[in-house]
Amino acid sequence: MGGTGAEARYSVIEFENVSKHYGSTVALDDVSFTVPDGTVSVLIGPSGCGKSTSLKLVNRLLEPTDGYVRVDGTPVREFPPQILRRGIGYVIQSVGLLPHMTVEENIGLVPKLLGRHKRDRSRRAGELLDLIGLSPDEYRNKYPIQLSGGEAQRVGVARALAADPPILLMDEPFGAVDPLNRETLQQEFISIQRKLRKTVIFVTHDLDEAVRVADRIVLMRDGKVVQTGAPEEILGAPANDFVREFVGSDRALKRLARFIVGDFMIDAPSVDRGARLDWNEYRDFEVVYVTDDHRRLLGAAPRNGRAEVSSAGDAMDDALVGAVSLGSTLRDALAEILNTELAETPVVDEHGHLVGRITMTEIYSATPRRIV
Amino acid sequence: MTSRAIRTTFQIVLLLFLLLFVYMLDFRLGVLRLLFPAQRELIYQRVTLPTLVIQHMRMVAISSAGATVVGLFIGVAVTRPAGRDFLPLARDLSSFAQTFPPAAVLALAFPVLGFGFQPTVAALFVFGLLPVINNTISGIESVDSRIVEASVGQGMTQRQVLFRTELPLSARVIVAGIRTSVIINIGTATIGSTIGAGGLGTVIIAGLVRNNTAFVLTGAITAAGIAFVVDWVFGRIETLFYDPRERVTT
Ligand SMILES: Nc1ncnc2c1ncn2[C@@H]1O[C@H](COP(=O)(O)OP(=O)(O)OP(=O)(O)O)[C@@H](O)[C@H]1O
Ligand SMILES: [Mg+2]
Repeated sequence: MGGTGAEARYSVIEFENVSKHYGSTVALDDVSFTVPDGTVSVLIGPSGCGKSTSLKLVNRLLEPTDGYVRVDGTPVREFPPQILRRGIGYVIQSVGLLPHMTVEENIGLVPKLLGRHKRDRSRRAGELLDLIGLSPDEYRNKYPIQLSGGEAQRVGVARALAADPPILLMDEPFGAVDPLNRETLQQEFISIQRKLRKTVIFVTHDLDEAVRVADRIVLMRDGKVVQTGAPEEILGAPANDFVREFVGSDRALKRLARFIVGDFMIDAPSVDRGARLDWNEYRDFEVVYVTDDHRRLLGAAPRNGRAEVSSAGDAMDDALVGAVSLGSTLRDALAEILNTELAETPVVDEHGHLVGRITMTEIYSATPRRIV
Repeated sequence: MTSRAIRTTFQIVLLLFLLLFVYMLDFRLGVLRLLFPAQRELIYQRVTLPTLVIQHMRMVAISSAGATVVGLFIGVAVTRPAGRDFLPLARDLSSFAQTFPPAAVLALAFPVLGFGFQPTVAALFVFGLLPVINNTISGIESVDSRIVEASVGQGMTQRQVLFRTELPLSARVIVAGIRTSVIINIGTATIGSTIGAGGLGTVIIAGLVRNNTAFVLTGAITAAGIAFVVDWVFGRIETLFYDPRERVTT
């Protein structure tokens, strides 16, 4: 961390043969894993398996009984705890906000500990409120009790980011939020993380959440690491029965959520609304998409056994307008395919322009299967 | 009128009554004559009532200020990691001591400290200490341990956790303890007069000795009135601090 305290950048987190005992309880037993720089590792596992304990070893709220926790190669115990903690963002469920401080004061907490000037703290709080999608003017002076669960969680994340620490520890950060809001928060977190590239350890109970936010998953049970890997690896090749059961029989479906439509789509046949649609030209296709002058998707013309030539506009069934966006997951695409009468779904970019399509073949191609 | 307005009006009337009763001899005479038409001697002559009030409040102020400082210190000390071992002791001791009759404390104090002002202040100090210690402990203990952990996790030092999290969050409870301490002492200070400490007890005892109810009532009304006003002031002070049960409004 160097002489300037929390200013220095450190970021790889390593657990090396870490054990933690509480009296006779073994909370962690010989745990080793690495969180690479700028990535999100999700700790997941049944209640009591040692997830929170692991997090607290990183910012020295707890000391290991055995082994080393290192940050950029240096054991954390060599840092003074307060200095270490001011350089590590720590997000816990909504109770973590200090109830007697305003949103701005909460966000400015660590900057204040670091001796930043009031004016800078205030400006930084404004930036972060913007980042997390809350209007600074409206929220700055509110107290935590005046926030909804989702807003409080956002402020918790903003507070953790306030001093721009390279590391974030998040203990079930969205645990107290309803499923719909949770998904929004996850999406916001993902897009913030894409910008900021922090090294994150994220604890959750929720496998869908893990699959969504993780670069790597560390699956734990009874204080031991059972399997680590990218979510698609764990979902695609569970190491043992415990993992198989933990990820559930719908693991193949969950796994689809890891793949982005843009990486799998194939070309989509299309004709202009005003043009003639000659099915002979599209012998290999069951569906041709109809677009306007700017290639914006208007609808789909299904073959339905037709062979004649017609106007594209007439052949189009405008009820068939469902589409997925480039950034959606294959899971969304599959859901869309099941929603329509077609065996495929078109893909559009952010302007509604037709850019491709996904069929069941692409869905299957992302699914690992044994050859029978 | 809202209930709040009614209360404020009542408090102002009370304060006015108290001031007139203490400082305007004719007013006091009028009130007492109304209450005790048969009594010939209505006004205690040896010391003026304002002087007694000042003596009284001096005892209360010194003892309660001491009790607040020392009580806060003890309450904070036994809730620190290093002092935790003494927490049960402090709690038991203060609960036990609170069941002790004030007269007994005074009786125990005056052989050591002699007559008058000092033993009375010492006894009041001991009494005033207990609610402060009790409330400081329970106030700090009632701060959600997860909030404390979050504070530590953000990088606060122990001292910062105390001053920025624990004390602000328990201030209301602690002030309530100081309030109790002061109110108890305003009442208890009257017994100091039995060992010559002055104060409002003087006129009460004179009344008891001479079988003059007007005297007794003069001291009692004044002490009660002061207690009322002080209690009201503390009530206002408490509202300045964080209240876990109340929605904060902007
Ligand atoms: N302070 C403590 N004293 C004793 N045992 C503890 C303490 N903290 C945790 N444990 C035990 O250590 C084990 C791991 O606890 P930990 O809080 O890390 O679990 P977790 O995986 O975070 O669980 P959850 O998903 O329920 O939050 C549990 O068996 C727990 O009972
Ligand atoms: Mg936990």
